[in-house]
Amino acid sequence: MSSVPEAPAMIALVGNPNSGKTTLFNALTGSNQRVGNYSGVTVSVKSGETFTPHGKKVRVLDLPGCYSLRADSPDEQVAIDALTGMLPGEPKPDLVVCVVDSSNLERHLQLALQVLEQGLPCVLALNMVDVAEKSGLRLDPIKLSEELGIPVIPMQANAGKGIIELKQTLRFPLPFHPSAPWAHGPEDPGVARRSFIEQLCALAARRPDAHQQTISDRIDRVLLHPFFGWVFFLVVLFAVFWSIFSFASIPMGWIENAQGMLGEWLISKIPEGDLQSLLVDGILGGVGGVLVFLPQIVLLFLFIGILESSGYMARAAYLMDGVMAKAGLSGKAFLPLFSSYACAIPGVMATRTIHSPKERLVTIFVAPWMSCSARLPVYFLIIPLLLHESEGTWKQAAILFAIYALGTLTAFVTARILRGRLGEDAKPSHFLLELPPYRNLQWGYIFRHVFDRAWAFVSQAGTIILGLSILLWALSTYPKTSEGDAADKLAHSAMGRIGAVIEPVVQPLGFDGKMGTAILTSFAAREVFNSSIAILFRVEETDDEVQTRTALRDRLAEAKWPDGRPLFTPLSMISLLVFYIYALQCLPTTAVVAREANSWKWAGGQFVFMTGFAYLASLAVFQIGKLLGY
Amino acid sequence: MDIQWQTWAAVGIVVITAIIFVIRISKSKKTGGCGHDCGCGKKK
Repeated sequence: MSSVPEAPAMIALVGNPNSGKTTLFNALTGSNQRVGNYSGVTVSVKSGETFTPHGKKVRVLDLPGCYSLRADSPDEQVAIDALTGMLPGEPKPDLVVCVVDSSNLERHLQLALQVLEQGLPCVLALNMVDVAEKSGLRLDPIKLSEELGIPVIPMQANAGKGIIELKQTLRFPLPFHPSAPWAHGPEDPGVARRSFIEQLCALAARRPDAHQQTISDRIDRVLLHPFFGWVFFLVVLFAVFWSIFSFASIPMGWIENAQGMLGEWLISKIPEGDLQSLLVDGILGGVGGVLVFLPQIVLLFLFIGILESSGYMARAAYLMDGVMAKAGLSGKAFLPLFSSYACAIPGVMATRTIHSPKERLVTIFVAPWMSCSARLPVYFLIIPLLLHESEGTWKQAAILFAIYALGTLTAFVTARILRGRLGEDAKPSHFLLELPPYRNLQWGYIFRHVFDRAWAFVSQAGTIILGLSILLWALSTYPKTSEGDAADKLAHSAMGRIGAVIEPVVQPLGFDGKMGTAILTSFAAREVFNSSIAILFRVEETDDEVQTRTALRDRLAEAKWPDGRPLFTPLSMISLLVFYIYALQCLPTTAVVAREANSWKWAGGQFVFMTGFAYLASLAVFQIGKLLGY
Repeated sequence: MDIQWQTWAAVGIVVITAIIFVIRISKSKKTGGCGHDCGCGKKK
């Protein structure tokens, strides 16, 4: 008499990217891992627990999606390690659940056969049977089970269908798969597998109307059309970009108002002094300056979630692959770089979808050169100074466009050079992109994904910026003097003294010590430049931002060097603009880069390189301009 | 007196922040994967 079968202690979910492993993992374990209709969502091993029908606890591992067990990528190496018990801290799985997309059975079975060749007990989860049936495929799970010699469970994990049937398989004693008949012939294993799959699909996955186009095929005829595909793509991009700028401004206003009200409340409760200044100007100003970007981040990741979940993201990456290849990047780098126009922080975080580690690092490196919205207050201050009042606003718009174009072009050229210098990945990472069928949006997962990203931003960047805000406040406050106004106090502080010391350094760029101090204070966040320069040039800030900016502009136009020359010439202002296009003056970005690249060295190197580049570019503009007589 | 108390409190917060930063930088993570977020749990 056989003993009571023991439930497997651990099962591993294996499958191609976008086969629905994470959806199945969530359905089995009740967790809320992120799901996207886009390859490469699972970039690390996730672990959870489920129960057999007899109530025995089982651990479930969700392995990264992979196309084969050849160890061509870190993901595939992780999958191999997990299946062979080499994954640190994890035993060899007792059962492997091969998750396949039924509508792409021919390709997905390649991996399933390779898993079977490992000799592990295996169950085939025939996922997305609804999509397969809609595409006209006639599946025969019993025949598949007979031919493969393993249980085959038809299922629709996103609707919870087939989960109970899958759990039923956990209680049977699952014998080792005796042999893989296709692997014992004289043929090449790959050829043998393909031949076996062809025979298997002819028997168990027939397509009577093979030439009939699916709904996704029909949609793709438009969305991947050489002309209309690009039109739709640009409309989607514009809509995302415009929405981030316009819709986010409303909650951003709420955050600013809340910040203002909290500041006023603190001022009413704490008498004037250092602690009040630290709380209001340092902590509230610094942390509020970061939190104000939260709506943009939430909106961006909401759109990313929608585009991924619907299946359009893969099409966007496919369309952009050719363009990005000119910069040495793949189509997957497009969205992170595009997102960086709004804010480099979500852009850097969005690089997680890039598989190649080196391509990801390069994308992170150049992302801050896509002019973000925080630079706009500085541009809006300087650009009108360059032009006469009678000149049309279209010239201002043209300058703004040129600024964006210069940043983007430099980012692409640098990416190209850097990609060449870093060389290929240790394991080649081919841009293999699956175009999944279009699906209904899974709102629960999208919102969870947005919440996770937003929380990561607030908790990680927020804590670091809190500390840095306190330190920057101290540098701008101490040592103190009781004499003079705010400008004199700033000049007397450590920051002001550093500004005076660096005057010889910034003079070749066309700037004086005050400008140097303002630039220095804006290394925490670029927009600080405007308020610093207002203090340094003794302009009273009012509630009306436009009025303050106009008053500041008038004061700057009157500013002179000690010898009477105007301080702000067109050339010095272009030099200033060039500096702000290239300098990495955003501490939250540096903190997020350090976290995402898992390296403070990379973040530090990026900061030094970009600041050095900004200095040299600004120097070249000013000195060459002077030589040319401007 | 009140202002002096505020100065001491502010300086205390700044010093504690600086100490936390120094500790965090000196205790930089030695583990956490190969840096590629691949879940391998080891430095490559």
